[in-house]
Amino acid sequence: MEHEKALGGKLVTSQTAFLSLLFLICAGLLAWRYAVGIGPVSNLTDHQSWGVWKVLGVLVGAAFVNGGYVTAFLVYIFNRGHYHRFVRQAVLFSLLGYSIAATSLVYDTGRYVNLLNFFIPKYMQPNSALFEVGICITVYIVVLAVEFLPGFLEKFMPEGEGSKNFASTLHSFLNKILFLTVGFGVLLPTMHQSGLGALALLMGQKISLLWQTPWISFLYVVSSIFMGTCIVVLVDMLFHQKDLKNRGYSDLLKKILNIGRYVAAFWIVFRFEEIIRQGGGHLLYDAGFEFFFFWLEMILIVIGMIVLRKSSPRAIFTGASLMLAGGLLYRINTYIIGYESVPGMTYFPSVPEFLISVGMFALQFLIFITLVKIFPVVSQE
Amino acid sequence: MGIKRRSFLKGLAGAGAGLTVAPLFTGKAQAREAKMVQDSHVGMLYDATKCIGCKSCETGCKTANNLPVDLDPTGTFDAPRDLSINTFNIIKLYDGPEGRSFVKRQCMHCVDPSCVSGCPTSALNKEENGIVSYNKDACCGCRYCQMNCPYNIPKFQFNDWYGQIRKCELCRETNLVTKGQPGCTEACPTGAVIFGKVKDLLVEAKSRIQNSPDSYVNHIYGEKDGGGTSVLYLSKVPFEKLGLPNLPDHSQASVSEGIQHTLYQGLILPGVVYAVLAGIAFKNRSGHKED
Amino acid sequence: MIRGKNIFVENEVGRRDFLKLSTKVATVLGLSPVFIPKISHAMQAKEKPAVIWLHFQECTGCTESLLRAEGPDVAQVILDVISLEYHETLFAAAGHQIEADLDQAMKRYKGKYVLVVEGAIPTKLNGAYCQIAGRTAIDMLKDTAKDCAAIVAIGSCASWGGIPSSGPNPTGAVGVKDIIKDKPIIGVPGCPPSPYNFLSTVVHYLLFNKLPTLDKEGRPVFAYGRLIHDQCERRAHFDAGRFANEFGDEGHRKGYCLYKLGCKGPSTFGNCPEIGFNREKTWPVNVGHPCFGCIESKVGFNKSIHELSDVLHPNPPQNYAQIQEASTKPITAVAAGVVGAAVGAGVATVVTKAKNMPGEED
Repeated sequence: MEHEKALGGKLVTSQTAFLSLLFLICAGLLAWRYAVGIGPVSNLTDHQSWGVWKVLGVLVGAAFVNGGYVTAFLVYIFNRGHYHRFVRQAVLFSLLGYSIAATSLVYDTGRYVNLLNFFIPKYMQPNSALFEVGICITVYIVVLAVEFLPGFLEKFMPEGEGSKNFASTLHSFLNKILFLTVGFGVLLPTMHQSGLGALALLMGQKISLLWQTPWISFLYVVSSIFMGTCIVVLVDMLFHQKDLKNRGYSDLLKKILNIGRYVAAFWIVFRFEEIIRQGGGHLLYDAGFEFFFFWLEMILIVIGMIVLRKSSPRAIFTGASLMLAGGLLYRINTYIIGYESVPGMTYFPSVPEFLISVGMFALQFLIFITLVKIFPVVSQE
Repeated sequence: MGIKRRSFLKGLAGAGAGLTVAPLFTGKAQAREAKMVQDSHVGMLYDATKCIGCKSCETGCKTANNLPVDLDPTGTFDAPRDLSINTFNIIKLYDGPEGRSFVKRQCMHCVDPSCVSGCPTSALNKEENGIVSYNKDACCGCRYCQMNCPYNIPKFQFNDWYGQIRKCELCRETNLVTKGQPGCTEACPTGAVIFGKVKDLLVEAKSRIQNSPDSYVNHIYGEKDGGGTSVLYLSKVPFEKLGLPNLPDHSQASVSEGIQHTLYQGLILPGVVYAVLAGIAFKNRSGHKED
Repeated sequence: MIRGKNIFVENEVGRRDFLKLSTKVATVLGLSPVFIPKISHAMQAKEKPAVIWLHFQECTGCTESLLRAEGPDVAQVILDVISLEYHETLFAAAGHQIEADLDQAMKRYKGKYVLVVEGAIPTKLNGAYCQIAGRTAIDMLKDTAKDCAAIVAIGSCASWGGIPSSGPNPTGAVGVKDIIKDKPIIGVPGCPPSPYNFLSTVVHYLLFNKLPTLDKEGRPVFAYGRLIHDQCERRAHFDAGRFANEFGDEGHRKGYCLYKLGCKGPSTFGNCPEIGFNREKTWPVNVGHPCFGCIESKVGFNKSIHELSDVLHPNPPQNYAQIQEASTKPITAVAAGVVGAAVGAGVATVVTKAKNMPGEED
């Protein structure tokens, strides 16, 4: 009765085989990591303690999947029913993405069993942005699961009208309380995205003025919004390549991205204002490592915005990809490029370290592709 | 074309409710009160002009805390180049146009520590006596403390399968208990580093500058830097040359917590926002079904 | 051999021992092995410098230690190398007879003899505190120095006043250089100084016909040019912060640095750690007692034995920890390649997908 249908098709394709291989390599490397510790496997040191596992796995991964956040906002708060078709796949993608991000946190902590301390009142430390992020993401994963549950249940619901089973009862109950879960579905990502930005605040001068600002929490929320619009569009386009020639469809996508463009424009202006206000203006033209990556980040987003003036599917895809890339680079730049504990320090991931992150992303895509084939997730409009 | 005006305005109202608190960000964000040195706080005073670089304190620390040897890069000498998981305190050398000076580096036991503020599981705590202590049973190994310490003090056992954070704890469970002072101050032959209550050490430091103003830079590092530290420094050479960063007079924790508290204190704001969002979603639930 | 006048030294010195001695002198002087035969030759030269040896406010320790050095051999050689014309300890004669000898020697070797002074010279009460045969030390020194070629002030007392000059210095004891101003004076301080420093000074003169290079205080640079601290075998312990805190404690028994027990090595110039004393080449630190700076005029008998020494020219070792040390693992080509490949693959995927999408013209 809904728009979504399981895509069906072979579960084992060259695509899924490749992704599985990447994940298997990652799993092997993780086993090694658990045996010997973080040091031998990665290039993390006391001077650069957070690397691709935290930054790519958690920060980038979490932003990558803000589709769920944005669509919930658009559909349930702004009441744009038109976007409803995007919700379920965005929610699933987010659910998987955040689960993978949470897993990244588990293998990137040295004393992982004590992660349970996040939930033990004696050890909770609410002043910490990291604590807030941890709790928030955990709760959000549960919320996403609840939001996705109807889609999962539909596979088990009886076909005929009027007949009921446990699945259909639960399904209608969930729909009734949807407004409750949606509230969390919008609140929680706002909280933890801002938290991910707030992590930088305690690092003070160790993060370059090109990224450090008291408003960084806000900037992270805003950037996750425009990145979310890009993700929603990109994921959907990949599943509806047949519909791309449909004018109405590409217009719909364009509308979502227009929101993203305005948000991104606001974000860019605010970024520059903060840099200059804090006295970091000279960094905008003093050539150097950070200078290069800062401008790369900005240029990717700006070019993306420019490309999006056109409405063809190709332009939409390219523009959204560029903006997304810029947004991801923003996070890498904050905590890796822009972070300097002592002058002269350098960091680059080791091969096993990088392959683990890649493998985890591969797993996320692998599960997503598999689930959309089995469960009614992708809209068929 | 365009979002239905009414629902748009509704949505905007909801978001607006959250954004009206935006003025709280600016200026008031540092609203969290500054933490001050308590009378019970102990610390150290290090006078670089009296230090002869003998490294007695390094050995004293290792003896007091049963730490193994840390070799220099050639692997020949018991001569660590930097703090590490086995070296909690180190003497470093500065040789430049302003003169030659040694500097002792160890945990500064900040008055308002970034590490304590950022630790999600309360593994780092500022004790009653001012010492910043570490509890490995609470620690989850996230290493946020390494990222946010302005002095880059905490070290992590990366090559251990279940590593810990290691840093100076002023011998709170070892020498401080048995001998009444940390191993480093006990070992120092010239009295370059001394132990005592922070308020007393501040008085001593001030009097030293007053009595020989030509021997010192007119600043007690740690009195206010970064919100203040329990380990104070006196030097003839500018502190930045010795590797002590130039920090503002407030702590980073006060900035970060100011913002966090503004947003989340008592979960009031999140509660309000949630109520508004859920309210709007409730209102819209019949609306969005039509397409 | 000077028979008759010297009753203490009677044995012959064997050839091997003589060469060993020559080698040691070469080492002390810092000369290459090429000089060893030349030193041997010089020490056996027929032309021996005449030496008149005076004693004033002293304990005779310098002479005694010379005689005790490594058995009689060194003493013997020293006494062979020079033509000792007057020595109150070693000579059997006494009284007017020996004073007559002194006058004769001074006349015979006028302008050519070396005057060795052992002991400080008191100046208060016109020098009344030390008189020999009715003459004050000051007068004796001045008279004897008049016709000498050079003066060697052996021991700390003769060099700068030594132990008689410590504390309130009730006798006004001073070194030779404070009395005689018009003759070259070489100080060989120490309490006692190593006999090798004295022997090498003499040999240097025999070899090169000139006096060795002297430092500001008139001491041969080959022996007194470096701080004891810079030659000490326990220096590594100082640099690593390992100290003995009390006599007999664990650090002391392990042979750690004695700086905290008051070792004056860091402010005393000398070569004691290098050449040591006695056959076993021992010196104070070597046997577990801090150096008290007996060589140095403002240190020995001036600062108390267990008082902390100043550290002159503190020279941290090259590998001392620097202010900024970045510990990061290097970027490998492989890693750069893998990441680059991944990024490249990502970009290529996006570009390909975009190309396959309908463009503006469709």
